[in-house]
Amino acid sequence: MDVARLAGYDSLIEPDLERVHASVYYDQRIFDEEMQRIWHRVWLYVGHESEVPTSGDYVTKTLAGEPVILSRDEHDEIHVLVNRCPHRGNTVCQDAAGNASNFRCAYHGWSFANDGTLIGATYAKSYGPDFSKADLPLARLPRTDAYRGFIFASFAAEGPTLLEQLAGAASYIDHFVDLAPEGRVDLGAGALKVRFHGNWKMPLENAVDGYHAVFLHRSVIAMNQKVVSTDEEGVPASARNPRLANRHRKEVVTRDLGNGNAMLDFTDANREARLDNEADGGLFSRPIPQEDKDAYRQALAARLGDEAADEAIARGMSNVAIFPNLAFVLHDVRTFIPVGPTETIVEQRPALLVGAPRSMNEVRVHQEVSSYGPAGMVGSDDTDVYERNQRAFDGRVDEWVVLQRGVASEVDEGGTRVGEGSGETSQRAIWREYRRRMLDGEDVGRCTETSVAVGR
Amino acid sequence: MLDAIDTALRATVEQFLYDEARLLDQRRYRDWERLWADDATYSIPAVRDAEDPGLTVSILHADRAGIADRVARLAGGHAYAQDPPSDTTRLVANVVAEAGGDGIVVARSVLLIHEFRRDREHLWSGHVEHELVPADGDGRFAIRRKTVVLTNCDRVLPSLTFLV
Repeated sequence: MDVARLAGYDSLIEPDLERVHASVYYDQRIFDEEMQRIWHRVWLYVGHESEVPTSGDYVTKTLAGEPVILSRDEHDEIHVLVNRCPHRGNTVCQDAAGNASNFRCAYHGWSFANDGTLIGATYAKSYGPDFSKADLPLARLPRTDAYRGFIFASFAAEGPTLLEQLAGAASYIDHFVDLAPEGRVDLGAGALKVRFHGNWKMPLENAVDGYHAVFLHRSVIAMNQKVVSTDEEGVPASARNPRLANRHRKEVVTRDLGNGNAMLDFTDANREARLDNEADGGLFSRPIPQEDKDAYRQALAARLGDEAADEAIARGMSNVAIFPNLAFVLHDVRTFIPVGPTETIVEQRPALLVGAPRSMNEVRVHQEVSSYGPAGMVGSDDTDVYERNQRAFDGRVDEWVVLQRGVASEVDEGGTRVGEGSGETSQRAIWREYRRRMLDGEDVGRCTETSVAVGR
Repeated sequence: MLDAIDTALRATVEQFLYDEARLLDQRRYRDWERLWADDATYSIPAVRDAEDPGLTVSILHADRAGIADRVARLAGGHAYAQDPPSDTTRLVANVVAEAGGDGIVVARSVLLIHEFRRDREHLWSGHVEHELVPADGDGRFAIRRKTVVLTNCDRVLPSLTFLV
């Protein structure tokens, strides 16, 4: 244990955010404090309304370790219920997904409506005259809200609204969803779920990392361009893939969207190409028939108007991390589920555009399957790097992570920090919020060996 | 007489599946790639009995070109998820072979793979269906379709970056 670990979060994450101490990636006590100071305070992404499309639908999830049920009741109200019988603490719902009007605890037969109401406590007479079923519903997270179909919940009864927390990320969600002719996306193509031995912050940071792709993903870039060669610096000739090469050009930037939200912004890269050729683009894209592209543009224009439709198509998709457990990577929507300080699950779903031609959505599914999941050719290399990181963090000789790339060229654009496409402005945005949250609540301003021991 | 034909067919199919398994265990991916027919489909579903497979995610879904891409990636030295590579031992069992028309054979088997990579081991298992078509001349087969339904296909999995 070195000095920085003993000194507290103001030293573990340096004030200028240019260095972060590796203990935040492995320490069990820090992980426990993250659950309290971050995960139990901010809005967390739970799931998407298309995962529970009809009355009675439910899915079970894990949120900051908490087993929860995301359900849609008979009145189309969506609930985030704690999957725990209030009697003696059994999970009342066992399946990953399904449709049910009520949940019944197997242990003593208590049953609950899909809005959490206690319907029946068996042999209720023995509870005496003062027993009221209204006092013992399934617990629920104090606040639930949704934005454009994305459902969030908070363990904190008080705090900023969801919209306030989303800050600059809200307008990206608008854009992402408005790419669908009907103004909504569908995550019903299913999920790819991967477990790895690494900390939850790694995939969050990586989702908006514009520096690594040409190195780590060179095999896939080569596959997409059928060229493998490198320049004298060892940089692959991915320079020939306009989309990826552009990350080193000025058009691609990294942004601090506020409250830990960050963006790897491709908006100004390839605008013409997007308008001329592809409605989608990116790795593993496939040609979309011209009539489908025309139909798509027409459908989009019918809702947004000609100019806005062209602008939306030209803008394409970017990567946005929404602190702490959601990210958009082009068409892919992913959520991060911490299991422990060195174990995390990532769930990924392709967002299908409701109202778009089938061929476009088939391309999105093809891109998802080729890229992500256990056998995905992009994501599996990311996963391996997380595990290599975690292995390296076992060491104690050099415990720092350096995040100073692009500091010098970072600019303030109307209150938003904007940096180079391959810079670390986006990672610093995450750490800025992390540092603020972790310092908020540090008992005596110092987190020492003894004072950080929290209940586990 | 029919029994003898069935037994002979099953023996031929078993030998083919064992050979395929050995190529994969030895990571002779280029040789393995030659087993595939031109109109091949290689699939590892992530959702059981999907209503609309075209709009449903899979763990892997590749046509012949996609298979070639995956083999090329593994051979190219920059598939970091297979650096170091997985060592595997496969058990192919419960083989049932059914002859259709035009020399097509559908083979069903179960598969158990013990994988060891870095300091971790993992057991994979599943039900496999091969659609085999006659290969040029020598009486052997080419794989037109291979579907591997893993026991835990719709659950949280570790990386699966060797070819199954």
